[in-house]
Amino acid sequence: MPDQQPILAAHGIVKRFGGVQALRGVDFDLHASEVHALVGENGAGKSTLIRVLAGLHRPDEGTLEVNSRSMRFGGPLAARRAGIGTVAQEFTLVPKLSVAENVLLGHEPRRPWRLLDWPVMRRRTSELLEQLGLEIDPQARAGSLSIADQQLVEIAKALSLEPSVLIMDEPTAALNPAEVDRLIDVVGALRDRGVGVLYVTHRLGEVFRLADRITVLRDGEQVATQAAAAIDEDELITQMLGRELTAVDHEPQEVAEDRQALLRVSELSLEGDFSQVSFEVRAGEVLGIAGLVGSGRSELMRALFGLLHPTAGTAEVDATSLTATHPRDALAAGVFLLAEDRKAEGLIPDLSVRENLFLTAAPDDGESPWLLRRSAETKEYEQVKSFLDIRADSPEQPIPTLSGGNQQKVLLGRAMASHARVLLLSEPTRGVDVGAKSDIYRALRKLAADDAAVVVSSSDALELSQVCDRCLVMSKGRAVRVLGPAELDEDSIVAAAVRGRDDDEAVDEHVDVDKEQPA
Amino acid sequence: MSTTTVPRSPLGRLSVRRLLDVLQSAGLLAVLIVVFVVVSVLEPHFISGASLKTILVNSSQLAVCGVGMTMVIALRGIDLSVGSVEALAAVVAAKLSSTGTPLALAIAIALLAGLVAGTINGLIITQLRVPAFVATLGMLSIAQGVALLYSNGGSFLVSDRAFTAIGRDVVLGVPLPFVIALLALIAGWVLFNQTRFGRHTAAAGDNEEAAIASGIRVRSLIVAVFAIVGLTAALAGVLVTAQVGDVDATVGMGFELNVIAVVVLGGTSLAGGRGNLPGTVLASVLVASINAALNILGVQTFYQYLAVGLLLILALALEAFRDRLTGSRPSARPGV
Repeated sequence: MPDQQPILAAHGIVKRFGGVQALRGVDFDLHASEVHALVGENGAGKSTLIRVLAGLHRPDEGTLEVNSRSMRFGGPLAARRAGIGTVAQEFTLVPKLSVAENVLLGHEPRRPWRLLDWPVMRRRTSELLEQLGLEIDPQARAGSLSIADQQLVEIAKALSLEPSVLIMDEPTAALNPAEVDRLIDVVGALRDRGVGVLYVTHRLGEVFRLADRITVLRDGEQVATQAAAAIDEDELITQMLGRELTAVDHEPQEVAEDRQALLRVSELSLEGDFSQVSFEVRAGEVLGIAGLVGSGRSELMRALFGLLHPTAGTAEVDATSLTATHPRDALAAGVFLLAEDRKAEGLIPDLSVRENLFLTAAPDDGESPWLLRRSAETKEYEQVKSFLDIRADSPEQPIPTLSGGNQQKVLLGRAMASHARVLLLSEPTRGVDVGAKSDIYRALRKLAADDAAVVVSSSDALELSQVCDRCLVMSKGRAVRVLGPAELDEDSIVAAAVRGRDDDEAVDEHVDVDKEQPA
Repeated sequence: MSTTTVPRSPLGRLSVRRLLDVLQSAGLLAVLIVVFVVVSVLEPHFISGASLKTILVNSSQLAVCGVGMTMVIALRGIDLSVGSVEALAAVVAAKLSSTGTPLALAIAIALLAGLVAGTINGLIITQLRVPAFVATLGMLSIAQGVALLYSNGGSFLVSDRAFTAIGRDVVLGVPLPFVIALLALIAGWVLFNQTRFGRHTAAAGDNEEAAIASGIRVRSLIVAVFAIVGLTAALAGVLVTAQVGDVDATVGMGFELNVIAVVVLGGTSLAGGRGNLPGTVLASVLVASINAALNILGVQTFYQYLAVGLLLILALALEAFRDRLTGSRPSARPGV
């Protein structure tokens, strides 16, 4: 490869925002038929670099060459014309338009009189989708597709301009393992066709499956650029963090029989989402819920919190029946949900860290629950902060200025402020970086050690094997298996989740599942 | 997921915003002073006690209703019916008073009418899921119609001296209507800034989904806040009757635009999540001063409409500029 000219070469890129230096002289190049992974913690400058390459930011210093031709930073359109395609992390599809309209948005094939050429649009879209191995109807509304399919349509959209460089910013953040496999195949196929792919992800497994080279950024600085084969995962993490990762020292444990079952769910069903799910969680225990996207685990969590309404079955908290029709009822019963989408369903961006923490709960000094008492809130904030190891400069700091992991810890702090004893955590580490992940694991183990019953629903089997004592595996809306402490590892979780899908009859003997057919 | 694309001052984003809040109030004050100086040079009578009093009296209706409107806008709602509700309350108070109902009862019934109209707005929005813009547009017409029916299209002369005294009395040198506006400001400020209710209002206006998922009953909150703005609109109506002494069902025409203008001028974001109540009251005084200045300079009254329109656009442009400075999302208003 060194004998070849890179198709994209950036030299000495510096970008400042006000007083903050986001990039401090970064070199980056990309060859044809190469997957070059860009990794680093949140705030390391990955997004800024991508945005510079995609023409969205004008760098303060540095040069950029595309196909050996120096490029001026002329905005996103110029970058696109130069052959740089981008699959953004945040979806840019217009939900009410069809897939075909979305894929060809802005460069639709025309007939005379500037009329849209619908047959050509559909055909071109079908071709692009076919190249990606997708079976998506070009006429379906984009908004009606699953998140995974929308992600793949985004890729088709980027490919419609036949770019020589494709930038992918965390394309698998919302995908389940099977979908990740499919996406990785797609990326591999693109590479084989000569496309240079810049791949940004938090998932190091994907990095090693895909990347030819890896560039590590930390605090805007380029730490290393190296062949993927020349490094292993531990070394990579050390490069990213600037230190070695402190391991989560947790071994799954059988929680003593005599501990009280805080949450008892029996035969809970929600038509179309999950049916006859039963399990219990004891005080001090962390129960994992595994399953592919669409297995019903997210809906199960939302139903227990009153955001969805189960159609049959019961749930009990501390032997008292739980009938939540609004999250407020669930909170009153001591149940807390850490929502899957932190930005959409957790944070109030205009409020401070303190205000976010005490959004609904009042501090515990027995004073009026209606009037706000800043000093009492600040006092209790300090306790929560030290307990969960929240890294914030001030309680008055706006919550968007915290890192993703610390935002998540503030949201976990809400559970403490409201004295919840049953903690439902949906994808607790989605979008947070490696260092923050182990922080969050420690925080949730601490909450469990403090006698909470914790339920972690996650698409990351490794994560579940690291933090849980037991793991319930769901498939197609049913609980198909419970893995005890002895059999809890990443492989068995994945195997159970996938097997449950392939073969519905193979119901394991461990499982507390009803034999009746779903209604 | 990186937040490095947001320009951050060393103080953090909200600090920039708070600074801008202060600057906005300071800016309003500066404009106010400029208006006073310029007009006083052109027309020395302007600075006299009498016209200051007129300005404060004229700003009170805007300020009172602005307090309610600030909370509605902080909740990312809007109320277009305040002018009609003001008129309804004005004719109810006037008709009852002129037909011999005791003053306190007449005022109470007028305020109740506003509270009911506001509650109905809230119920239409939450139960029928009609956007606030449309629901209150409907109420604008309905309340106007009820006011016309109730007054039979006529006007009422208030004969009760105690009633008109509310519009003329002075407390410690400050006109009573403005004292009432200040009391409304204090009550509103405590409610919005010092209670859980206020925090929930801001939260629901900022991120409704997260507010619901955090256990806030957003629907009840919407009904309550719209009831409050209805009440403040009715209080403005009672003030109109007390000041004018002779009202009909058309007194509130165009009032909604003025109220929304002072709220936005005062620094409350149409994007929801934030409300600046002192700014609203200050902006009310500014608008009343500009109108008084145009009056005293002998400019035709119709130009006042132009002035308010221009101020509103200017305020929105300023808000867009602020959003760019603070790096927050643009003040798009889906759903309204």
